[in-house]
Amino acid sequence: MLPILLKLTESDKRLLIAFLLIFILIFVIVGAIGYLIVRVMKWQGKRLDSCVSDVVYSRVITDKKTFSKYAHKKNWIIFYKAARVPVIIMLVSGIILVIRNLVYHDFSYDVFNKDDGFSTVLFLWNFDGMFILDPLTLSFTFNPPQLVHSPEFVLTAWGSYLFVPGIAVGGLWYLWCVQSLISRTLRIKKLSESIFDKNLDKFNQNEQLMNSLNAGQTPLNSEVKPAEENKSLDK
Amino acid sequence: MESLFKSVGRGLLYLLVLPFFLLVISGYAIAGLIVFIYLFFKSIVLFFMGRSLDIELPEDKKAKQIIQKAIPASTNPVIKQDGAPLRDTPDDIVVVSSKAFIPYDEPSTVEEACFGLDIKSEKLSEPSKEKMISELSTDDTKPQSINATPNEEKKIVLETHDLSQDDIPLGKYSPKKTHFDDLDDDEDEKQNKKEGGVDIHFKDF
Repeated sequence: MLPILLKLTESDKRLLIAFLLIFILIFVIVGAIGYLIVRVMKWQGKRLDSCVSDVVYSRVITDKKTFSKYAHKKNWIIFYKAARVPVIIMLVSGIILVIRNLVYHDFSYDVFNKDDGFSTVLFLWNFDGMFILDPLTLSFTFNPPQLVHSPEFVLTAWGSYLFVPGIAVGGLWYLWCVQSLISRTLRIKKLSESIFDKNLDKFNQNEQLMNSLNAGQTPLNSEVKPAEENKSLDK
Repeated sequence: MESLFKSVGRGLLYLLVLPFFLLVISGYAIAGLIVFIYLFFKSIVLFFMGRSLDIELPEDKKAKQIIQKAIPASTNPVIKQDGAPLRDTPDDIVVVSSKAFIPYDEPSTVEEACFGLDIKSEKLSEPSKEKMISELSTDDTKPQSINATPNEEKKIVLETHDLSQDDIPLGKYSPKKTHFDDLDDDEDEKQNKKEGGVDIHFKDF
């Protein structure tokens, strides 16, 4: 391996460093996007608290299983209410495409074709032969992509113009709702473990006993003070 | 440099986790679609039954009743019954409505204390309560601040905060009719109240 590296020319080394930097940049970008998604999911999960806090504060629900069942039921209802709009958008888009196909008697219609599909309003490039890397000589050539199609409005492609954006918006919106659903599910799992947690990590019975035996000290978790206790006895 | 390594590592981790995340999200998307269709038909059925798919479950209604009951009972409430924040009362407040003097009704039964008021019976008893409150305002038992001269009326201070539970004339208020009033135990309890026997209340519920 080392002799191969020693044989590399200065330009090859620069090329390798450039590739390495690109990889690092990709990882950093992916990490940032992932971090953003995690933060967004935490925020989405927190919204569940306002829906389930009342039953916990008022102690209507006092065990983990009931809480989990109740919260999941509520979670699905929230999802249903949130997903109604994107589902309607997607359904309307689908109906528009069906109507278009019925009008033109064409059920093999490709919505992305560049003659009467959505691609008519897009820039299209040919990326073939853009990067050419010769492994023997380690020579690298870059060819700019060739423009194949320029945007133009075609009236017969109206079905795809309505269908593709509709499905894209509806689909992304629906995915957002699904992500919220997953976030809330994770939050339910976390809350059901933390709310009814009986943690004894910081509890020491002997220490508490010793505190209560010390004169002039109130036992822990005692609501009645010694002075008040005497008053109640006087009555 | 450390944060850069952290970011790169995180990116690597997320790239590895990405296929699993996509798998989970697609699974939930399909499950969500199935549940959506189920809830859609359920809401249609409920619509024709005169109801709707409400986000408020029976547990929420019960919780709301308990919280609304607990807020006025609190010694230092921070919010009102309608959920609005309680502000300090300014000095020159004019008491317009006699409703301001409504004292907290102690729960008359154990069931009422535990499960809240019976809404139906409360609605029935509402007009009589109003009437009695208006009677109270014209009665001799009203607070000293209400008997003030017309010039002083504008500077009447709302003194209901200073009233303790024991000062409130409970006898002036009719007990609310509930399903449990017919039970013998409750009748005995009422009898005890009239005779001035031991009165147990859930003051700090």
